[in-house]
Amino acid sequence: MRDFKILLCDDSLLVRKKMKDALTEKGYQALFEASDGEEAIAICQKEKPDLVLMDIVMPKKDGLEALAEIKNFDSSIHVVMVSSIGTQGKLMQAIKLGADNFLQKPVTTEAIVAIIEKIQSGGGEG
Amino acid sequence: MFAQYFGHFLLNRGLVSADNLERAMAAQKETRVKLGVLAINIGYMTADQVEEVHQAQTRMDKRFGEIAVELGYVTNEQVSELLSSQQTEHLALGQSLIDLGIMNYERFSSALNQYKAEHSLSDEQFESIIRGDIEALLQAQLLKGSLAGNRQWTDYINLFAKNCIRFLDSDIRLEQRAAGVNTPYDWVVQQPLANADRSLLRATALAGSEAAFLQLASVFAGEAVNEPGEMMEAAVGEFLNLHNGIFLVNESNQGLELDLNPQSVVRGAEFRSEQQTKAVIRVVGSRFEFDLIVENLAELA
Repeated sequence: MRDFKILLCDDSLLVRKKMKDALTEKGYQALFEASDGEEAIAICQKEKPDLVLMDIVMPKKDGLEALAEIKNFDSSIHVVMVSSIGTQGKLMQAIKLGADNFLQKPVTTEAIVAIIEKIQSGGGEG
Repeated sequence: MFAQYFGHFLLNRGLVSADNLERAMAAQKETRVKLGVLAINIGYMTADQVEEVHQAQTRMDKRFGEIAVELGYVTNEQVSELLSSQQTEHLALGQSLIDLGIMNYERFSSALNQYKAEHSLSDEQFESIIRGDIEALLQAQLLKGSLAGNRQWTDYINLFAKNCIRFLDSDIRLEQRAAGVNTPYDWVVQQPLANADRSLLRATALAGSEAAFLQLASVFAGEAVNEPGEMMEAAVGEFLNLHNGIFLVNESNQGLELDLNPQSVVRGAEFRSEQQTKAVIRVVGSRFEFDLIVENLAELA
């Protein structure tokens, strides 16, 4: 669990803090934060996280563009979209760009942990 | 939510004083609604009949329901129905007003009727409202005049009320503010909605005093936010973003694809809404008041 690296990417400090607090409590320690798509890409290149929890609507570079770029240079990084816009259209777009899963906000810790465990057990295509 | 409107109505019509309303609302959470109030609410018994049963109860050791059935005012089936009915907040408020001696059954009953008459409600509409139907309530209270007949606005505001209750405060009331009112706001969080090809944007915003924003942020974040800064902006912004996201999903289900721009927070003086047509809704909660500003979303369709 210690080595499982998770990048939390959301432009809202509150969302990042809530996810970070919840995951820290569950024992995950290798947590990184980004507040837009550009930062997320930079951290992915440097840290090679196992999982990115990625918001969609963000300034500078949105989550779908960042998803495409991340999957392009390292398709082994799992990217799960966490967005308030859970429309069929956004879902299809995200899947087409290689997203591993899609959670609609507000998300529960249980939902995130279930996704992490699925990835850790090798069933990450979710 | 009807309890807030009904309480406000009682206050506005001079039927209770502000102090007494506050006392009753504070006591209301602990109040168990009794059969008499339930029967008046649904129209099975008159206030006089309820008083009569209460008088009889002082003379004999029987339950309210038993006596009411014996006197032929209700049937056993109706008693069972009342006992299993949903006890909405306005009833708890009514019971609390009666228990505290602020109103009697007669005045409670006539206040309900007066509310119904003043809002020109049919029996059916009124029944939906007292059963807790938020859309029926907002239809009667808010979605009239310039807001009527605009499906996107109606849906947006109905959903906003539900999200306020879900994420912020169950005790809220929404009121339309007169167009052209220029309230100086300390802070505004704004998030434009876009049409499918993103050629058109219409603003949505939450605007209020700094105190209101700090309260709103604290409630939504579930922790104290005591000064303006990134956490206040993130919390209020995320509430609007969450609401707008859910609205987009609902619209998409109705066949209208919309998109969102990122939210941003500005000082009140820097906020500009270019559109002439907009809805300005005052949201009154027990701990805060702020405005919801929505430009004409029907134009995105």
